[in-house]
Amino acid sequence: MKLFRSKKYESLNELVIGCQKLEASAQTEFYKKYKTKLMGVCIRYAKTQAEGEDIFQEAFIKVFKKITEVREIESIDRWVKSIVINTAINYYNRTTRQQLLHVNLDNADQNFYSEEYESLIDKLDIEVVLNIISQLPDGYRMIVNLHLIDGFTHAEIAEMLSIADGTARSQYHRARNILMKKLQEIGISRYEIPG
Amino acid sequence: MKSPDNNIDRALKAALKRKFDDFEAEVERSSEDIILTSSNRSYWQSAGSKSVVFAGLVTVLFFSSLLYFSIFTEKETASVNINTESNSQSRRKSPKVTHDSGVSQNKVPDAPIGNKLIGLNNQINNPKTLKINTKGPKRAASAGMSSGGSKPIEIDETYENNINISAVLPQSGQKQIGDYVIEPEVSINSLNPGKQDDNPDLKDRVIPITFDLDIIGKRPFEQYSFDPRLSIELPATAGEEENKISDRTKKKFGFVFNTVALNTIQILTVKASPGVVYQNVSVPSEIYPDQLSYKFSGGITQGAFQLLFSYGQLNQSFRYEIKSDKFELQKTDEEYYLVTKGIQHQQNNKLKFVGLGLKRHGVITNSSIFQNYFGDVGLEFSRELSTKTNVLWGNVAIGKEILISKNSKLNIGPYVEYSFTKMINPDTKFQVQPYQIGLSLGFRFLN
Repeated sequence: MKLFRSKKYESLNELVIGCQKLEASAQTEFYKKYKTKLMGVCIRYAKTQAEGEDIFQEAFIKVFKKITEVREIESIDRWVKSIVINTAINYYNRTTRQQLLHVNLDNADQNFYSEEYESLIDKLDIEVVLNIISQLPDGYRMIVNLHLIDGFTHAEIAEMLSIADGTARSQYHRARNILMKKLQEIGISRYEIPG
Repeated sequence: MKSPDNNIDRALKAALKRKFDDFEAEVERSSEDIILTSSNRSYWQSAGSKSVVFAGLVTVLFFSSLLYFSIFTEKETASVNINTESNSQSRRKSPKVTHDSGVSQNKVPDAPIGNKLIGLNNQINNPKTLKINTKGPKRAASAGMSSGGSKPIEIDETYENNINISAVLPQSGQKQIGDYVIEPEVSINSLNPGKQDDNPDLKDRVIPITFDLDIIGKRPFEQYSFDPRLSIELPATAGEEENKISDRTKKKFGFVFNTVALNTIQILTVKASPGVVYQNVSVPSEIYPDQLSYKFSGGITQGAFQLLFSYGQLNQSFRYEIKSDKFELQKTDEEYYLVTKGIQHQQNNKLKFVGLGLKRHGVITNSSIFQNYFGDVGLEFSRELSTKTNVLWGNVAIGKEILISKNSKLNIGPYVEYSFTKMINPDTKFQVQPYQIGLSLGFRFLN
């Protein structure tokens, strides 16, 4: 028997306001609403599952701490996602930012047509694609996620990573080349796409 | 015109977006606990916490009621205690006679009859009925009944005597009726009144008590009338007991309120975290008033034991750095050395606790320099409200007890509290074992 019944929130608006009032039941419901989606984002940006969990926890704690600052409740989805992405960037900034300087910058031979990449990615299991992305060096993984999946422009990425616009572009190209090379390897070995 | 690069970008974007647009991943259960307890949620609205507080209140209420009613039961019984010592030293001393006069005139009190007690109970409504409860040897009872009439009873000091007598006050117009309980090992000799004059030493030890025992026969009542409200105070025996910690408050019921201002000291254990190296971990070395912790407790006391419900706030702060890949060249007097630069972080947490504790309180009453100094030793189980961590504390307090009024006392003195449990900081995963030193101010009201 429940001694204290949880309050029900009819709309996202009420839910966010409840979180802003630090209501425990609102926070629990908010957490349940967003947890799997945001964990998916964290896993994309993280190198390992454990690091993804760390980013997820850190991000969600920030969400609850800063949710009182949210004024446009209708854009809460985008706001929450931006908190998670920023947390992921900071997480890797703290420890492995310098890694970019020491990466072997192999250029991929562009033997595939663009449609072939698209078709290959569609065919591959999501875990396999995720594994390819997670194997990228930290900085490249960030840029691939930011530009190719989350749709940020190079200028926005440059600002988020505190680097020059040109640097953001060049790093993206390197990151993309590595990604393409890895996709080719997988494609050739699994689906015998001619190289 | 679109370049091949642009086409590839577009294809990759489209494919990856499709792939990950609805991508979701399961979260470990432990994450939920960490996140929800770390956020500044309003604790009083969480159902689990309410249950803990509710259970605490019920417990305090239950024990309070139990003790309260047990005191009232005891107070309805009047008693006369007569103690004499059997050894040669005590022969020269007057017997100690104490009397508690809290007797209700309308009630026949329940006499405290133990395994060795004999009860003689005359019913008010039927003075001819004699009710004798014999749970021990009958020799003492016969001694009492054979006294025949209203005669003083002499306590034979050859033996160690303990007499407990419960009495009912006579109502107006009624004969005095008594309910007497006499311990069997007491030797009560019915004396010839004339014999008292022969031995003046015994005069002081003669306690006049009037019996009305119809089974033996009518007796005159006019000679002595025993009034249990009278208190006979004779010189107390000086002995070893006086040097012990006082039990003046023994069996007394009352209420206790304490306030403690505390400075928190922490034992930090930094646990290894993958990919993160901590350095320069430090705790504040100076004490600031705004960083002091505090604790309020209140509860009940029975004898020397106190049951306390407490609420406190512990201020926890420490600084640390997360090691980066940057180095700084620093110079001492003669040489240069490299220092790893770190990203500075600071934790300032306010941990709030509710708890239930048990304390043993003792006061020194002998006439030494430590007279009226007290000592407290206690254990407390408390729960941190934001992280929901359970903590077991041990605490010790010493200090001076100041008498405010007949029933109220003020305790003031240093207080030390030590946590037997390590708490885990949710942000850093550091283990924190706090201990606190402070000043305690307490108020005791005894019934």
